[in-house]
Amino acid sequence: MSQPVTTPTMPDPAQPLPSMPAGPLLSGLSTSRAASLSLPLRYMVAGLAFAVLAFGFALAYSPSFLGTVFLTPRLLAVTHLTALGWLTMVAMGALYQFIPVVLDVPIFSERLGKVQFYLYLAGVLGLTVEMGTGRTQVMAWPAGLLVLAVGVFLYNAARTLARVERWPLTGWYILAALTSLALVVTVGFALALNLTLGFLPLSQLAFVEAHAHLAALGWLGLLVMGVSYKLTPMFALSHPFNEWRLGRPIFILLTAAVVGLFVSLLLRLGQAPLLGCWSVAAIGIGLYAWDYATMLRVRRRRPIDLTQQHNIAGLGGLLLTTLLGLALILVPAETDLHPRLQLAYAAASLGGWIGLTTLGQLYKIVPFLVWTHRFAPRMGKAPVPLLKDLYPQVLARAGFGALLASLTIALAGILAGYLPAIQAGFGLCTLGAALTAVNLIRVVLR
Amino acid sequence: MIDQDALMAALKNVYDPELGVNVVDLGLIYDVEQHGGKITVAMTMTTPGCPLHESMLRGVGDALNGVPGVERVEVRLVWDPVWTPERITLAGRKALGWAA
Repeated sequence: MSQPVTTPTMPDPAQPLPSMPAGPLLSGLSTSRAASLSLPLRYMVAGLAFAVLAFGFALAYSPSFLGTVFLTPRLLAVTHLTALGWLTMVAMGALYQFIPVVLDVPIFSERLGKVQFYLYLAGVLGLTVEMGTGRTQVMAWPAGLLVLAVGVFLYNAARTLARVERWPLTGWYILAALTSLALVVTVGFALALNLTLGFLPLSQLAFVEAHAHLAALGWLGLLVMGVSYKLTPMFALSHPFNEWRLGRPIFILLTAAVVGLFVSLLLRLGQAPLLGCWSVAAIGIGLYAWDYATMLRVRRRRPIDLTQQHNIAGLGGLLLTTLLGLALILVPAETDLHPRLQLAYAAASLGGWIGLTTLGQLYKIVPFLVWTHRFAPRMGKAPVPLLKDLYPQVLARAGFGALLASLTIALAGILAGYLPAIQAGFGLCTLGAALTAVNLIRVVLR
Repeated sequence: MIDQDALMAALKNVYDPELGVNVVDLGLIYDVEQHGGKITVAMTMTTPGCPLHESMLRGVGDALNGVPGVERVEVRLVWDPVWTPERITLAGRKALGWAA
């Protein structure tokens, strides 16, 4: 970093560059670490398509959601379309873009990342088709493919992270999230194998609940929170803000809660340990909400942009999830309300919290990637658009409004056990997700 | 001697594409030195790990290269002193909706 280096001029695929004097000498700048455009974008485009599919299947399968049996194969299919197809797909793509920039290391192997995409895509499609058609006995095959794909991802991530010299707060959250992901897929694969071999010594339902919490709070949750500690102050120009002051205790509380919930659910330790773990998680989440509010309070960029609107709504989803979690512990499992609480808990966490937050971040990441490759080479030589100019704001706000309203309707319908509201909610969710997907994919096609 | 106003005007054409404020009004330009036809710029970013830093450094260099008389541009990225929002000009503050 100390020696001046002349970096090559990036080619502009859309328009030839005007001839200029010799390029500037740039110093204090290492060689470019950013991943190529195509690596993260393929994950994001696929993730957006899965978001539409997930809500579409939630609409189609919604009559089965109010039955007496909670964990039906169809519900499992919708859950995995959401968690794996949409959220994890986007998360992996975002990490391929985010890690080099924030942790200042190049991705170990982009080729592995591209191979992994196809393995993962095939695994998600196979698993959700087997689940949706109720052929759970053969789920181990696509589950094995998923384990292979996630294994490649984790290997690539581990080799990349091994080169990190300075660990910012966000890096620790990413590390904990990736560790959780490794455990999530291990438990998930064991569950799939168990359907055929029946070797697990404990209740299958206990494994499912432990697996789900590890995925939602440990993998996706810690990742979303950690990333927000970097992106929110950066985009909002939050000053003064010390990310470590509460970010560190929150990290300790939440990782402890993730471990505690996993063990308590897996071993069926009972209500008291669950309440204890919930309390630790609730304190961590409460502090995080406070810290997030602080980031916004001290922001110098006053307008709340579309991404922040998604994030604020997502935070509302997180707080609702926390309350529903408490209700799930306190309401007896034998009551009619309990399965509806479970469904609302899953919808609030995956759709309301992680889902809205993820879509909001995509409104930053996708335009940034496209802008960097299409327009950055012209900056300083000719007028270039701003990131927000790359997509119609009206369509974006319509998509967000539709998603927020529809998730609220769907959650109210689930809690009330009122099918028309659930169907209206998931129908409108499909529309909102489709508007968002079309808007962002149009940016990619510019 | 190259007109300093022409250099600053060129720099004002380089915008942070996320914030919509140019690098001068954002207070990112710490120093612009001339030695004959060679220009040396010291600039910073609002935060380390800013994903736009490479594009912005290059944009600053290319903008100055377009000013008549400029033969060579060196852009140095510096982190000392640390950027704070107090460096944003009044025009920049207005653009960000922050009038205080």
